[in-house]
Parts: sequence; C-alpha cells; structure tokens
Amino acid sequence: MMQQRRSAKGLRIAICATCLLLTAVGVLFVHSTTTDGTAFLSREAKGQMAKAAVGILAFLMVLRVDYRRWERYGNAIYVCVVLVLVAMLVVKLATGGRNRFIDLGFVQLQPSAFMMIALVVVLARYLRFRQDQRRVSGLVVPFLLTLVPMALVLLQPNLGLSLLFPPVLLGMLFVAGSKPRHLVLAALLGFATLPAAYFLSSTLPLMKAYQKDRLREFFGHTGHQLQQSLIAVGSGGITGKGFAEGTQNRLGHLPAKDTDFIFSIVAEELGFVGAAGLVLLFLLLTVLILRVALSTREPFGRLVATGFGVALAVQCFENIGMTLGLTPITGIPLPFVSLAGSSLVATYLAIAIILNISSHRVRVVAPKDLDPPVTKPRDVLLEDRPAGLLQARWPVE
Amino acid sequence: MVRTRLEILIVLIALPFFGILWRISALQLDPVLHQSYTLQSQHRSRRFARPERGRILARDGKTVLAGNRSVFSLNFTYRALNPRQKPLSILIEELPENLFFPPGREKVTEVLRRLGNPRALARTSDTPAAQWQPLVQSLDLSTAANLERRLSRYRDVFEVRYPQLNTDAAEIWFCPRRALQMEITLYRLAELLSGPGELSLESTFQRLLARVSEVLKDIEKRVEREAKRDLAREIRASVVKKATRYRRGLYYDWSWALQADVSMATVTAIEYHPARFPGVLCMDELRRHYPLKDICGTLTGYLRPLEVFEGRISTLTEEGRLLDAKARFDTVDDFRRARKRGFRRTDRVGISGLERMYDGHLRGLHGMSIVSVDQHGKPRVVLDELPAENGQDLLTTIDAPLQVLLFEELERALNSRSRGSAASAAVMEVHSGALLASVSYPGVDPNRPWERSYVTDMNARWGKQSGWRLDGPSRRPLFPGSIFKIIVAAGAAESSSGYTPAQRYPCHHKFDRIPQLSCGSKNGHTPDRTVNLAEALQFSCNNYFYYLALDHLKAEGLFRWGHRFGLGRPTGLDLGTGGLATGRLDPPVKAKRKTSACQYAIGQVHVEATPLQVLRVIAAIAEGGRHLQRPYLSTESEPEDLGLSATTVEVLREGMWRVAHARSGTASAAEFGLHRFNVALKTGTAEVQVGSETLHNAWLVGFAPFENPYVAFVAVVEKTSLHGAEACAPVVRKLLEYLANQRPEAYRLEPSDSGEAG
Repeated sequence: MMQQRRSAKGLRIAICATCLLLTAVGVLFVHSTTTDGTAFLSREAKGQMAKAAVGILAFLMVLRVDYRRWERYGNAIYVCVVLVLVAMLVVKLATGGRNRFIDLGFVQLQPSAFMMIALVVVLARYLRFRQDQRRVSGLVVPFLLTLVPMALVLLQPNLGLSLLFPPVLLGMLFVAGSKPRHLVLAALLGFATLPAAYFLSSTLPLMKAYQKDRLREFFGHTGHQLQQSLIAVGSGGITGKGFAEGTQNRLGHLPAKDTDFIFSIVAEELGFVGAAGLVLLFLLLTVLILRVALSTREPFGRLVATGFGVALAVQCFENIGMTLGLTPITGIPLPFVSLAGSSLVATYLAIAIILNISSHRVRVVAPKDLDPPVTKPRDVLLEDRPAGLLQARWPVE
Repeated sequence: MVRTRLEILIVLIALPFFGILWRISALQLDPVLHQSYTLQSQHRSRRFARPERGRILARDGKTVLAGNRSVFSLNFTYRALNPRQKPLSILIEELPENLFFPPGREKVTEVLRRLGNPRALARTSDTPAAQWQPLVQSLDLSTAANLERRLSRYRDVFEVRYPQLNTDAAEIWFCPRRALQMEITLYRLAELLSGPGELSLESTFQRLLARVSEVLKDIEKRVEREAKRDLAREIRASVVKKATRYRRGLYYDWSWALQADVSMATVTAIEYHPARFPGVLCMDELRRHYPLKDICGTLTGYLRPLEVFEGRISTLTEEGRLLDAKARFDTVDDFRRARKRGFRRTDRVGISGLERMYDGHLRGLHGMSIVSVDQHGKPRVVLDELPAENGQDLLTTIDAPLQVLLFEELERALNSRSRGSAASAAVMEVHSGALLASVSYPGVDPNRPWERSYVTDMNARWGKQSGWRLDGPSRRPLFPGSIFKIIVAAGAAESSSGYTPAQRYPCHHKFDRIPQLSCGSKNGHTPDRTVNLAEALQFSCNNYFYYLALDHLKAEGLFRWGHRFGLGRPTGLDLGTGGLATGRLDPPVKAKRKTSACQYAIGQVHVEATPLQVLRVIAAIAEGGRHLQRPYLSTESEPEDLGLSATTVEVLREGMWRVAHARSGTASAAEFGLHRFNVALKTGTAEVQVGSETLHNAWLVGFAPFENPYVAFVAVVEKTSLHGAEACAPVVRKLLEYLANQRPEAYRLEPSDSGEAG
C-alpha cells in the first residue's frame, strides 16, 4: 500500500516536472520567435510567463479542491460554458465577425479552451456507473453531449479545437466499456461527414472558404504555410541551427510561428534532437496521465484522467501533425508551448484535476460508496425513475 | 477489463506519436532533403549593383569630356497627380447631353471651365477645409443613382447629393482642390521652376501640362496596344478581367519623368511640403554629363536606354545578353562568368562616338549579391557578394583647350563673313596619328540629344536634312578641290613616265587642249607664262595639273594614287565602326573622257574626301612620305606604308611652303597673317552647286613647324562664298598662335624672314 502511494507520488512529481519543463520550453521559444535581439526577454515571452504564472496559480488553487466536487458541479459548469458559447455565437451573428475571444480589456479570454474540461467532466459524470453504453441507444446521450459544444466551437469558427471532441468521446467511451465496433462505426461515420461538409458548404454554412482551401492543400499541393513549415523542419537537420538562429524564424517567412507553428521553429533551431525530445516529452506526459487513470479505480477519476490524456495527445498530434503535413492545417495551439494563454491556463487546470485524482486514492467496494458522502445521487437514470421525476434529469446542485 | 482497455488505449495513443517521430526523422535526417531545405530556408534573392561608368578624359588626364554627376529630377505618377481623370470620364459619359453640355463645345473643357480657376487655388493656402461646390443641379434620379454607383470610389472628387427639400432631383458636388489637383500642383511646380515674370510662369506651366498630357497619351497607347494583343490572342474576357486589367492599370501608377535636372532648392521645397505636391516624386540619380557640351559632342557621342523588345536587345549590334531576363544566377560565380558581356534592362548604352566605340571599356561590370530576404522582401543578411566593378576611364588624345579654341573660331568664321553651312577642323600629330582636336560645327550637345525643344531649334537653324548631328571631320565627305593636287603632284613625280618636278608647262588662262577648261589666272602666273611643280602648287595652277593628268597619270593613275593616299577608304579612326564615311574615289571607268580626267585632277566631280582623309595626306607629306598614319583618339594603330621618294616629298614641301610664304602664294596675303609662322599650307576651293548658286567648300590644310613637323591640320568651311584661305585663315591663324604660345621658337618666324623664301 505504502509502495503504491510512493509510486503515486513519484507519478505526480513526474507530471509536474514535465509540465514545468514544457512551459519553460514554451517561454524560451516564444522569446525566440518574437525577440528583436534587444531585450533579455521579449514582450511576448514575458506575457507567456505571466500567463504561465496565472496557470500555475490556478493549478495550485484547483489542486486543493477535491476532484469530486467537479463531479458534483460538472453539469452546471458544462451548461455555463455552453451558454457562454451560445451567447458569443449570438453576438457574432449580430455583429457579423469572427470572434473566438472575449475581450476583457486587459486580457482576451477564449472560452472554448475551457469547453474541453467541462465536456470531459460531464461525460465522466454521465458514464461513470453506466452499463448501457454497450448498446447503441446508450451512446445517444454522450454523443449529444459532445456534438452540441462541438457544433458551437465549429461555428465560432474553430475547426481545430472542435476536432478534439470526437476522439475524447471515443476514448472515454472505449474505457467506459462501449463495444469497439460501435466506436469504429461512429468514427467512420464521422469521417464520412467530412466530404459531405466540404461539398455541401456551397449551400450550407458548414465550412469557411479558407478551411476548404486548407483541406484542398492537404490532399493536393503543398500550400505556402505548410511549405514554409516543412522548410523550417527540414533545414533543422540533426542538431538544428541554434537557439534564436533559425532563418525561417528570423526572416519571418513562417506565419503564426509563435503560436500554432511553434513546433516548426523548435525543430528548426534544435534539430531532430530537440524536436524528437519534445515529442517524447508529450508522449511521456500522456502516458503519465493515462497511468493515473490506470492506477485509480474510481470510475469518475479514471474517466476524467482518460479524457484529459486523450485530449492532450490528440491536440499534440493535431498540432505537430499539421506542421509536418500529416494532418490538415487547423488553428490549434501546441499545449504549454504555443503563445496561447487560455489554452495554457486550461491545460494547467486539467493537470491539477489529474494530480488531485492521483492523490485521492479511493478504494472501491461498490459503486454506491463512490458517491460523495454528503449527498445522495439525484441524477437517477431515466428508466429507473418514476414517471413524475422527469424534470429532475439535470439537477443543479 | 478496464485496465486492459486502458492499456490498449495507451498503445493506440502512442502510435501517432511514433508516426510523428518517423516523419521528423524522414525530414531531418535525410542529408539530401536537409540540404535542399536548408537552401530554401535561406530565401535567397538577387540584388544587382550598378557600376559607375568610366569618364572620358582629355590628353592631360584631368579635363573631363564625359563624366557622371548626381542630378535631381522630378517624376510623377499619373493616378496620384490627377485624381479626376477617371471620375470625369464617368461624369461625361453619364451626364445628359443637351442639359449640361451646350452643343458645339468640347465636353472636357466645358467641365473644366465650371470647376474654377486652378491658378487662384494654387496661390491660396491649403489650410481651410476644401469647399465643396455644386456642379450640376436638378439632375433626374435615375441618372443620379447610376452616377452614385459609378462614382462611389471617387467620393473625394465628385459626389452625388440629395437636397433635403427637393426629393425628386439630385445634385452633383465637387471638391475644387481635388478636381483641379493636377493644375494646382503644376502651377506650384511652375512657380518653383520658372524664372521671374508672369510670362515665364505661364509658359513653364504650359510646358509641364504638355508633358503630362504627352504621358497620358503614351499610357493610353500602351493600354490600347495590350488590349489589342490580348484580343488577338483570344484570351477569354473573364480571364482578362482581373489580372490583365490590373496590369494595364499599372501604367497609371508608373513613375514617369516630368522634369529633368532640377535644383536642390526645388527638391527641398517639394520634400518639405509633400502634401502640396501630391503625385510628384523627387528622384536622385547619377547622370552622364558632358561639360564641354557641343564642343566635343560628336566625339564623345551619347548614351541611350537599352531598347529591349521581347527579351532581345535591339539597340546594339553586338550580341549582348540580358542579365536579368531569363537566366537565373544561383551563385555569385555563375554571375561572374555571365556579366562580362551582359546588360541589364535598365542600362544605358553608348550609341555613338567614343561612348559606343569604347562602351565595353567604359561600362564596367554589374555587381550582384545574394541576400536573405524577410517576408516583406527586405534584405536582411548578405550571403554572398560580387561588388560592381566601375568602368575604366578612357584617356583620349584630345587637347581640350585647343578643341575649345577651334570650336569658337569655327563658330566665328561661320557666323561672320563666310556664311557657310557647316565647318570642321582637325589637328593631328604627324608622327603618331593622335588627334589633338577634331571639331565639328554645329556640334551636338550630348547632354540633351533627344530633347524636343533642342532638336526643333537645331533643325530650324541648320535644316532637317543638313545632318547637323554628324561628326564633320570623320563623316562628311566633300570635294577636296585643289587639295587633291598634292596627290596628283606626288603621283606624277613618282611615276615612271619621264616626268620631273622641274618640268614646266605653259599656263595662260585657257587650257590649250580643252578650251572649256581654264586656270584662275588671267595672264599666267609668271612672266614667261610657264610654271614648274612647286610654282604650280604655290599658285594652285589648274592647267599644270591638267597636263599631269593627261600626259602622265591618266584616270588610272589618279585613282591609284588617290587610293594609295587613303581616299575612298576608311581612315581607321576609332570612332565607331558603322557610318564612318569612306568618301568617294571614282574608278577609272567613270573618268575615261579627257575632261573628266582633268576634273578628277583638280579634286572636282570624281572625288570626295572627309577632312580626316585629307589630314592623313598632309601628315604623310609632313612626315616625309614614308607612312600614312591612321588617326586615333584613344588606341594607336600601325600606320600604312606609303613609300614616297625624298625628292618628291621635298618638292611638295617646297610648294606648300610657297603657298604660305612666297609672293602671291594662295595663302600668303598679309591680311591672313599666316606668313609670320613657320608653316606650310595648301588651299582648296571646291565648287558646289546649291540650287542656282555656285558656292565653295573652302579648305586650308598644312603642317608646322616646317623643318621638323609636329602637327598637321585641316580646316574646312562648307558652302561658303569665300575662297579657301579667306574662309579658313582666321581659324588656322588662331591655331598657329595657340601652338606658338607653347613653343614660339619652333612656330614663329622672325619678321625679317617673311616673304623671302619664294
């Protein structure tokens, strides 16, 4: 038992260290991509440090909160974030713009970054004791829960982030015990919608013109941005051109080099050694998070950790893949490293929840014991309930 | 079960990461791919550097005949200068004809008249906000709607307004400052550029306005030509629509020359108040400059922009390559090899004179650097550089003060008594062939050979067909007249027909054998009415040379000796290959008749020679008859062998000495003042028919000093009423004075010596 605890502690320390290391890499490379050679740290790098500090502060605060509280308030959070997204969509439609951010004056907030946390929590809460996800009918609610925020994010438009949602859902369903063939079928159906969306977009507002262009680029010839990214990666060689010495970086030919394409600059300046190291770091972090899921036996925590792990891995793959031409170009930041404050804070929040799961070891005897002792579960399943209790389906505590 | 699924998930998640690792290694670890990407990542771009053209220097190595100087000029972009051009045409198209334009009036003028007085606006300050004014009132609504749509992009110039009280009519308002911006700006420029006085201001303004409308015509011509070409290629209208129309529109944004060579003060005034001169640009460039202007213009020649058509160079006869056309230079070494004979599209090349002959020498080599450019195309890092090599200076044999002096004298000679149509003079070193001076009047000012006003002036003064652009000494063949007698004399003396220079022939005005021919003397030159060769030269006796031609040389001999003395052949002067006149020397078949042979012998009808060809003959006699020098300006070349015997040369020299010094020698009159110099001369007066009038080509040639000749010279005034010595003596006297100032003992005779040699 003690040994298990010790190894759990080691796991937490490893996760913390990996995150901090990645954050440091992020600050350094934000500096590298934005410096003009005069200041010790560029303005953007200082901003990234500040954002990291906010993220770590949020991390420390959330770390003290029992993760089971998230379980209790999960639905409320989910509804809140969805409402915010709906409100933004209404504002956007009214003013006619393209707005992913809420401008608070001193800082711009991107609420969709927090959508992922809310989704994972609410899915984990829904799936924790359920058995019917083995049937197709049981998949309807989780899919609805996922597709609503996905559609909202897609309409922002933020194709990159919305593409994270289905893999997270599938991963969590897989761990929750759904039949693999259902999931594979769902995934295939999902892929099938892509060409449909592409070809129907002339009549329906499904995809923006630039998104179509990017898709065409992916399947056809290499576009300018990807070409520049490949040049950056390819010219890096084994050991790279040296920190802040990359020509693609300094000459400014690579668009979005400090945000979505920061990996190209890492690969250019640190070469294969640095790029592979960074990839392995992300793989390590993912595996550590999934180890947390493995080591906990409490279904909610396990599902949450699985969801975050899958989200992190898919985000990394999507981002790095697009810089290498493996995936279509979508606007998605590289976790911890890209200059993207909301994503950084949200990721730290997720890590805090995972660490909290890891530190609370609940020995499970029976599903009922798992509920927080203070309350009784009020979200009784629909079919178990008396007919008159329908209105209590989404209780808010 | 759950654990197994989680482990499977970990493996599934890890797979894409290994995919990424595989992809990175494929990109970064393949040396060939890495090399290619490294090259691409440098974002190499070529930058050319223009060399400075070498100067053309006079023989002292200091006086500059052609140099470079930094000048300011004004350019303009049409669209920015004249914002009303497009909306005005829309307005004229759309406005109802009978209502707005009274019949019989030019529409544009009519609108301009209503816009206001640009001159008054140019005077007033810009500070008060532009006062909008109505142009058209009570316009029907459908026209107004149409106009509003078409004028939407030009709301700063013309605007459709709807008065509130009146709902069924619209108005068109205009902003006078914007609508008349071109005129206002040009008036302000004219104030800077013109001299004092209203008249000068108005004429400067009109000149600028004319230049702008000239450019507009040019632009419209180009646009039309391109449109026709696209039509011919059957490009679909939809394709033409965007890209081509954009390209055609670019002509309006080009920087067109407005005024060359403006003062620093003007540039300062414009640069300090750019808002007062919208669309006007100040340019700073290195211009070719010829300080001596038309004095040396025909020698130095001038430059002209390379004419490039479809990638081929049409101006140059030599095969030059365009450096910036098709070839790509990835490295500096590629460029180093190619630049030797290459041109750039914007190059200016010499098209005449020394500028053309020594273009390769003067031009220099373009430089190129390979730089890394950032995303805006600005160079950030120099990767490789091959600096431009400036052209080399060209040292010429021209004695600048002498050149100036001769030019001024020719001008004076032409403008005073002689009233000739043109004049030339040249001075050559006897032993080398170096040209100390080669002057043509009227000259060409190489600073402005294409300037319209200059060309018009010159054409008006000298006549369009007069060939005033030609270099007289090298390119203008003339009847040599009596000068040719020197060749006849040399030929007869060298011939094996038993003739000796001492042989005397009779001369009493009429020629015995052909009565139509005669000599200038009424009663013979000497008491016994006979002359020998030296005397014949002294008096320039025609009859004596008729005898020589008929008895000793015939047409064949005349032709052979003319040819031997370099007539009818290029002189070998290094002043361009094409267009150098060879003169004319008729073959014997054309002079079979006796009269013809006689005319041949006195340098009429059958022979024409350029002054430089004549100069070679004189220099050969002066030098002793051994060689025929080739005149040169920069590169000396081997002389031809002539091989006259010493006795012949001695007689010729004596005859020429007598011309200047013996009593009644053709150039010995005291009024000419030539007898005071140690010089040998020969006059020539060739008759030319100009309409019904008989005029003369008046020649005076010679060499000095007599005993040990250093220079030979030639002066000729074309189509004058005077005789040889009369027309040219002042020029030659000034030349001799100039030489005598340097070495008096060699060139000046003691007063007691004069007139006694004969």
